[in-house]
Amino acid sequence: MLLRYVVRRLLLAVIVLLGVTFLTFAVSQLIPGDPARLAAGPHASEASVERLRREYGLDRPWPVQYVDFLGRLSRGNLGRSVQTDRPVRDEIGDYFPATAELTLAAIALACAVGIPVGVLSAVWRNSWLDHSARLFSLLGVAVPSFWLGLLLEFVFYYRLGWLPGEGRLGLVTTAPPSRTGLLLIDSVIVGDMNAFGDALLHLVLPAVALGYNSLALVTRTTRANLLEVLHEDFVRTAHAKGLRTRSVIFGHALRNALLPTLTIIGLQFGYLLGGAILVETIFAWPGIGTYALNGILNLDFPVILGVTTTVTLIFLVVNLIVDVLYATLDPRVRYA
Amino acid sequence: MLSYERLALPRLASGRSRTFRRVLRDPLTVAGCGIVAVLAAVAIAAPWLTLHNPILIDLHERLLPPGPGHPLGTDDLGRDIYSRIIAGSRISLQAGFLVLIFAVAIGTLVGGVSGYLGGWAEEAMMRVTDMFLAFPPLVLAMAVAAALGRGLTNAMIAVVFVWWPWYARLVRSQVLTLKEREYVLAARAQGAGPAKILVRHVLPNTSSQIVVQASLDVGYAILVTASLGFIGLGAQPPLPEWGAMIAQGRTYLLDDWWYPTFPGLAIMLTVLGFNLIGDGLRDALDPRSGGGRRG
Repeated sequence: MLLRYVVRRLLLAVIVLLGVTFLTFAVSQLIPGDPARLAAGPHASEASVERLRREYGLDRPWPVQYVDFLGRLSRGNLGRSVQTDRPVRDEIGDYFPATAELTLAAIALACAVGIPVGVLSAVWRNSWLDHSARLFSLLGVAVPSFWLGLLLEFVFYYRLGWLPGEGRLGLVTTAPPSRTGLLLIDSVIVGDMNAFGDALLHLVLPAVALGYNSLALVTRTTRANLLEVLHEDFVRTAHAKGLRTRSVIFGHALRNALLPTLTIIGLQFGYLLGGAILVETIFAWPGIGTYALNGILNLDFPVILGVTTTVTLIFLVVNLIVDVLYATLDPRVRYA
Repeated sequence: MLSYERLALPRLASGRSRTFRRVLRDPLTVAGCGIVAVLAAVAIAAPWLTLHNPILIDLHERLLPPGPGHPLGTDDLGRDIYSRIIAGSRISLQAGFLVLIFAVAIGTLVGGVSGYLGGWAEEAMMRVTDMFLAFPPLVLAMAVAAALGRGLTNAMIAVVFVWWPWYARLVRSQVLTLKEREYVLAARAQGAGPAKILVRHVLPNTSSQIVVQASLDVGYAILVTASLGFIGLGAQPPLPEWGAMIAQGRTYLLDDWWYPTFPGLAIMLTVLGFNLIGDGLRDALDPRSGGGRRG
């Protein structure tokens, strides 16, 4: 049953992925200007522009061009950056680990703080803790992450000097040899605790700025679902059996209440990858957000489309994993 | 014996007023209504509330701290930040509402038609919807806005691009249950065509759900439009758009903190106001539902 569900979800994902590539292709066709003319330069003759157009296949009908685009995509070819003339795939490979580290840190923060606060908030409903947690999460949903990043940098870096403000490592710290590209893991592999600490400190402000919004959502979802589950029959039964409140909450209620939180976290991953574009620029974080923004500012379309395709692909895969996890944890889903 | 009407009518009336009372009993919802009411008033009366011309450059007045002549200080071109924020409220509110109107219209059309027709048409329309939902929202908005070219209108089109699928899904799921209701079957038995049934009998009943979702989403639409403004894809200078103001002011934060701080506060308060109303409405109409909404 589970296998059939997974296969069905995979097939759907493939259809959606095809659609996504089509939409991306359509966006690339929307771009103003003649790519052949752009590539040939302003002083090229009409004949050489025409030759380039044939060379790039731009003279063929768009369905053929789309199939061509799919072929290149399936080989991982995302074109070359107009600014650097390097393959976009290589550049994304260089920038992505920084974004992955930041996004994972933001999600970890959202779960590590959001779930306990949500649980406490539900258990002690209408207490001062509940009220402050709700205010805290209301603000978190409303605050623009890029603005929060600016303020955090201003207060904790410029004014108080407690935390580093920019980049992934301080100037005097040597980066550990790259294995995963994630500095925290790389430094642990070689046992360089100095680099680990420095990387961790550099992560704090960007992760808070990026993760606050998700933290707020995780808190709200956990609180709301736990409140709902606490009224269910099986929880009352557990109470009636004489179980202590603590084991009712942790043994029975929480397990069920956390399922929707899992979905939210999966969805958040995509939002965070988008939010990274905003937050990374504030903290000079060398990730794909900074890379994409550079592409946007210079209208470097292979870069913009490359980042869009890559991030969407990751988002699809993460959501697929979450759905499968969900189905594993909650058998009812498979029959839906 | 009481007739059916006499039983039904008072219940309906008291149900509505109960919802209304429940909305107004929650202090947070009332606070949200207050914020949005003030904001709307400010946006309407903006030309009379500004102290200075919001786009007039005066280099003698550069980067003045908040003070008597300029309650929120001035920016690097000597423009009054208070006046710019007031003028910007129009831009943001208009953007939020226009985006939502178009997103709801497209979503209702796609969701309503696909849900009512069913079959291959539904399958095709919903797969297209899924495709849009497969993108991380800001990333799609960014790509579309970049392809269309910089500017406020294009940024708004890009946000509509991202938003309509959520309404298509919402409306479709509502239509799926509503179309089996007895009054719909009765209308069909009387010979009403699908278009008439959909427009007259089915879609009006989806409106309360749509209103709740839209009231939550206006805030987010404003936030996303401001984000696009911040990365330079939205409103262009000299338009006093809040996100763009933060972007222009960020390099001055160290010495002139007021420059990027106040536009950000304006965004936060606006989004907060709409969220509070949306939350309150949702809880009042469906007390069971909690905070589990998408980001």
